[in-house]
Amino acid sequence: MTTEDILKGYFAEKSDKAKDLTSSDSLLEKGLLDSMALVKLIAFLEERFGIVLGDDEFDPDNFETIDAIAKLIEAKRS
Amino acid sequence: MDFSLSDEQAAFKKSVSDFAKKELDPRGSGPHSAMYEREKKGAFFEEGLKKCAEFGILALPIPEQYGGLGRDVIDCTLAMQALGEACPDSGLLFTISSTVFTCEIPLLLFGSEEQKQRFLPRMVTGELIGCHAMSEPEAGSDAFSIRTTAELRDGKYYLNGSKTFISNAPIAGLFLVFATTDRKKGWAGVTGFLVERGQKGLTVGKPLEKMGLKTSPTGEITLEDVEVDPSMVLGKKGQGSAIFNAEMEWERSCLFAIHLGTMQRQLASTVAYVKDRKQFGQSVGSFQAVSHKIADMRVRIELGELILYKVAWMKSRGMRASLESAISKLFVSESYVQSSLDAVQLRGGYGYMSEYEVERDVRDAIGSRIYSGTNEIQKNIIASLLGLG
Repeated sequence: MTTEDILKGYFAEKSDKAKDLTSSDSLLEKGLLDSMALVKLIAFLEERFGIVLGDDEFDPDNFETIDAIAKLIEAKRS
Repeated sequence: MDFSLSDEQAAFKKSVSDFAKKELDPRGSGPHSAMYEREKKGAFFEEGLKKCAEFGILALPIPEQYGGLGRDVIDCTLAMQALGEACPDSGLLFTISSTVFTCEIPLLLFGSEEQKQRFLPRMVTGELIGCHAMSEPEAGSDAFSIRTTAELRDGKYYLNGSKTFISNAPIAGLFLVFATTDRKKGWAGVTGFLVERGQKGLTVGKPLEKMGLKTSPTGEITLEDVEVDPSMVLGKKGQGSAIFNAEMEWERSCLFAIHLGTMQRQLASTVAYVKDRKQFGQSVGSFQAVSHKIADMRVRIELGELILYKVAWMKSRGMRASLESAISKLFVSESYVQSSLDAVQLRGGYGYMSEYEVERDVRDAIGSRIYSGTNEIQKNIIASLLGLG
């Protein structure tokens, strides 16, 4: 399972709005990532992928799409 | 697992405690104490701030290259706890916490080298007091729904809006103002801007009257076309929520350590009181209705200290502590309120009289349920991290 698939599964479990979500859809525009959802997502990412995100990585650009999040994860892992 | 402080940590905490006991208005005895008089007037303890700056309290977490002491979050927590225990002026300590943890820390974590060099050396000496301006008349718990806008025109940002309940606003020289560059983006549109007192279009209102913490000035600000150079954006555009969350984690650790210290002071004075006070021919402390309240106060301190130290320990290791800092904030603030009420109740009529200076703790404590995110929001965070909501 790819990182993108894991992330799509995560959002699909959270909301019906994530049905048919593509890797390039804006999570903000689809209403999938308010501030509380971001807190939950970060906790999930850190636990699921064994990464620790620095304060300066909480850049909206890093969370705009599934693609962007996947890239952030890969960058952290490498 | 090791629950003990190192020799160095214990010695550092004691040094702060010794300083505060000597210099920060040793607890008076009623209506003639300086603290009692300051509270009646709502006067800020400027001399106390100066002494704290000289000792290095405002410099604690800041690296030496900016004039700081480079202490980690555990040391900051210990220092705040020691101050809370030794100093009865909770307003002074609240002001210190606000400038250090909600202005210096964001600068340190997100500031450019130019911004750090420009502001931090003056902040650690107390020359420049900071505040952060997030809350608005229509945006409290829903913090990222702020309406203050930042519009980019001809290479400059122009800020418009109003902020309320801003700790330190009446005495601050530096304002960390949160504004949105795009309301449709919600949290992702919020950006932090550094605004200095005296900038055209920035108006600071009169101090607001509050229930407690009367010696810590709080106010409103309005921004009318305040011009901000892009070099005064803190962090990146859209990073305001990250700044806000980072500073809140620090505050939920260090500010609430002050309250833990206050609870320790309350316990010591209350134990002394109930041993001394005689009714029905014996010390009131010998009655279980009294001693059980005392036991509850001690339990709250023990548990509050454990969770506060755990949060500090996690943060000192670079671990995220969203859940733990929410639990800590919730538990310590509720404990602070209850222990303050118990301290009054155990003194009966004397506790209710202002001159005995216990009722002030109740009024000071209530705010802790509200600031740094209301306790209801903390429960939302905790539930949310359990997959609910």
